[in-house]
Amino acid sequence: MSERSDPAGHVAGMRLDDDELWRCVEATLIDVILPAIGGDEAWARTAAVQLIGLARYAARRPSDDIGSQIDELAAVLDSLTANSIVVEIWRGGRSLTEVLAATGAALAAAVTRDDPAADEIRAVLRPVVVRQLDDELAHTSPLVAAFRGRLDA
Amino acid sequence: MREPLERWLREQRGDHERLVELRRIATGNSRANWFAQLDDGSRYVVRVEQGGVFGTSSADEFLFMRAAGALGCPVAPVRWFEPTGAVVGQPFFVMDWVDGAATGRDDRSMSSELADDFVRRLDELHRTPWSAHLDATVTPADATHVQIERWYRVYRDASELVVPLLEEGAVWLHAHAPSLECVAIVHGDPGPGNFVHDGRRVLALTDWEFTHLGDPMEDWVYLVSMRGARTMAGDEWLARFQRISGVTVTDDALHYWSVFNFFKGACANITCRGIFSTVNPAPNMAIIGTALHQTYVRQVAALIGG
Repeated sequence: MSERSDPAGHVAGMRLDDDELWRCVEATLIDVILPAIGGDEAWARTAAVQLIGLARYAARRPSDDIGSQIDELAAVLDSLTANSIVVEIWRGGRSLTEVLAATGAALAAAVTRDDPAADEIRAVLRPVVVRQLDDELAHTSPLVAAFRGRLDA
Repeated sequence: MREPLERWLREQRGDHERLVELRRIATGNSRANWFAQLDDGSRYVVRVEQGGVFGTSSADEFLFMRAAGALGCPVAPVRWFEPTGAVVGQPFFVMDWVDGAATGRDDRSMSSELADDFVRRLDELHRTPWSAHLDATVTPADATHVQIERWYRVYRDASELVVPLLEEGAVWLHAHAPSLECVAIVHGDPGPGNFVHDGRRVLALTDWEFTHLGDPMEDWVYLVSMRGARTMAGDEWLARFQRISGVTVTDDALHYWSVFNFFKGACANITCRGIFSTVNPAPNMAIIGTALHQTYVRQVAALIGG
């Protein structure tokens, strides 16, 4: 048998990739572990279904996009520098902490105001925040069924 | 945990009975509930904290359950409280086991008679004069604001990062808080799955970790829009409240307390994210701290403004 090494030093074709590993975890939980759990072991059964949900999530979720989400929010705040609410709270810092704090402060300040600045926050900044949450939920929401012990196809 | 628990139970009871059965009961994410039976046939539930899940404490839960029992509300008698974590690694308390069934929140088979009794019992809890049994200074003017701040602090203490839509939600809740005439005991998590029954009557309300003093409308709306939402239609719940207890839930109350309950849920759920990373790497902690938290945040956002 001949062996060849890839640039990372692994034997070619031998290294298991993450997708394969998660598929193995999911299939084994469904085909082996779940049927072996007794009918009176409801807690173990629920935990196994939740674990299947997490394995599917791990296999299918996209790469972490938090950096571009923060950049997008910062760009929106930058575009609102004439807004009296944003002027008070936005100093232009690009860190995760600073951008989220400024975004939250802007949304909160707009709640109790009924003026063009508040309207602009609701019309321009808030939809971006909600859309980013929806994007994340598109990947995490199947976990809710697993949490309830339901094994969807 | 079997041996230290057995020793501790012997100390509390002042006897030497053996622990003959100990098994986890398949309910509860905020607490691990264990069925425990001793040699003499005594049966208990051992309710163990899970590293601060939901920002609730066994001390408060024990206090409210004991008060509710003294006030004649249906609740399992509480026995002993271990606050230090030195015995099984987490604080816990022990209550009597109550024979009966617990209908799941997805179960639509709850009889009309049982649903009526549950509404009646919840209303009795709300109307119970609590001041002789609970030491509290909360007033009708500040009760709801205290709860908003409580849940806001739970979220901020659990997360290094701001969740912008929860910042918005907290301010909205303060700005729109309805007036309250009388402070009541609020269960905080009432509904199917959180009471034991015999098919016709409620034997014990369970899961008191969210109980506090506040506006009973929080419970009624929680039942309609969250825990009881899959048991029957909202209109059926509302008609039942009116018929059994004379409680009217207006559209405004339904909206406000739905926002409040989803806000509370989002703040409570985020505690599980840190707990998953530290003391309890269980799958339910991962899901509650991410997907469920996000789902509730989205509900808050939708109810406030789309």
